[in-house]
Amino acid sequence: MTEKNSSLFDNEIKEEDIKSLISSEIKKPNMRSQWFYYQTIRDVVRGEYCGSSNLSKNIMDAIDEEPTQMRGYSPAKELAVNLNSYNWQLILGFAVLFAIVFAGLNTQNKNTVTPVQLVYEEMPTDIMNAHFANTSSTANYFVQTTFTDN
Amino acid sequence: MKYLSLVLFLLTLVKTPLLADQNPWGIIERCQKASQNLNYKGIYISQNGQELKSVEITHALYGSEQFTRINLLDGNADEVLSHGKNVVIYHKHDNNVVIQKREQQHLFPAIFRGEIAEIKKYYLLSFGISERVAGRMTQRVNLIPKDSFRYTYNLWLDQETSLPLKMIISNIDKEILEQSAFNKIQFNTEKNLEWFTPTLDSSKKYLIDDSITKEINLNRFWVATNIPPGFKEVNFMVSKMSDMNLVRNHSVYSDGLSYISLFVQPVRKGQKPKVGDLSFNSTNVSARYFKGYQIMAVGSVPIKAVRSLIDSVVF
Repeated sequence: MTEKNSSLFDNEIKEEDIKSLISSEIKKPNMRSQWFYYQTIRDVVRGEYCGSSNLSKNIMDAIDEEPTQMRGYSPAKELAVNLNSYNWQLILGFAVLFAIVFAGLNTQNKNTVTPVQLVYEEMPTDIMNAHFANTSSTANYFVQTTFTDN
Repeated sequence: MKYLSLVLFLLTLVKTPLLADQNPWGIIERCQKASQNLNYKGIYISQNGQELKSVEITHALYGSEQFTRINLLDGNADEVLSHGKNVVIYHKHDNNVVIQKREQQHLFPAIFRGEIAEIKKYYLLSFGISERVAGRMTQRVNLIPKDSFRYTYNLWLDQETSLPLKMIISNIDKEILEQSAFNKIQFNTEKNLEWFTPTLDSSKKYLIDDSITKEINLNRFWVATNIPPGFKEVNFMVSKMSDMNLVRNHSVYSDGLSYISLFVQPVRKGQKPKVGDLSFNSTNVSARYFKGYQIMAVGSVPIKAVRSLIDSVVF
């Protein structure tokens, strides 16, 4: 019967066999996973496979934990999902797409930005603190840097 | 008369043993070694602009390893514990203590970080008069920059041990920008390492801040093509920008005494990038906007040094 299943997904089954196949297969407990398996194979063979919803969610969750750099991006060595080598191209695609979209949403469009004169009142404190914490020879070294207690 | 002059000259050398050296830069080498090898405990005042803070420091060399505990005596009771290259700072607040790992510390009196030969290339050494600091006789020495990319460092070195007991950083107009000076110091007081422990408070919550990380696997996409003469990159960090999931590149350059931080980070949505220069106390800042990125250099160096650095960043 699995051969018929395969034929069904490959559009190679006879029209008169479709009804009997579906009515008999739908009663089987493993039916859903088997059908999903054949659908996946068909999509991959045709180059139409775009991943399962769980895979996407796992990738998005893992990427969400990774800080984004708009330029010079290279993938993290490990992601928190167990994936085989076949899926790496997919992950890279998601990662690059996510990085671009996320960075685009959170950063300025450089074509429309007008810089302003640097003044003391608007000097970014996180930058000053990061500088003092790493270079100071005086008591400025004691400055607390980026941490916030949530 | 000839003999009298010779005797007087020899007596001068006896009175100021720091000068009794054929190599004048030997005094700076001994100063660097003293801050690493001596066991001492003292309190010094540190001033930067209007800010004045008292600091207690205990330093010891056990075997080949250095141990330092530094306590801030004014304001928050923050403390730093440093063992070799491992540096941890405890920020103490009303309800909690935030623990941060730091890359390094160059706090007075251990201000010399690397090879003295490198400093020699960019500073001239001159000797001043002998003065009392913290109840001890010192020899004043000045490190005067050969170019306009750094400030002058005036040091008062203990005549007996060569440890710096006072330091003033001044600009070309001899204005004081920063200073630190012991008002009390004792040598060889601590016989063991019992003092090398943080002051714990069981009523407070202890939190670890690991926001700065080097493990983020990102390529550096920019390059600084014109680093001020004598400065070399001594540290590079990638950290998450607070309240958003973007990263900041932070590179630290040093000539062995002075430091410049270079920041390269994307401009946040809704914020306007900054351009131009800013000076306060000894610190100069120069900012530039380039291809969607805020490029900013900060340093206790003249404005020329930070400006030339940011102007040279390309990607």
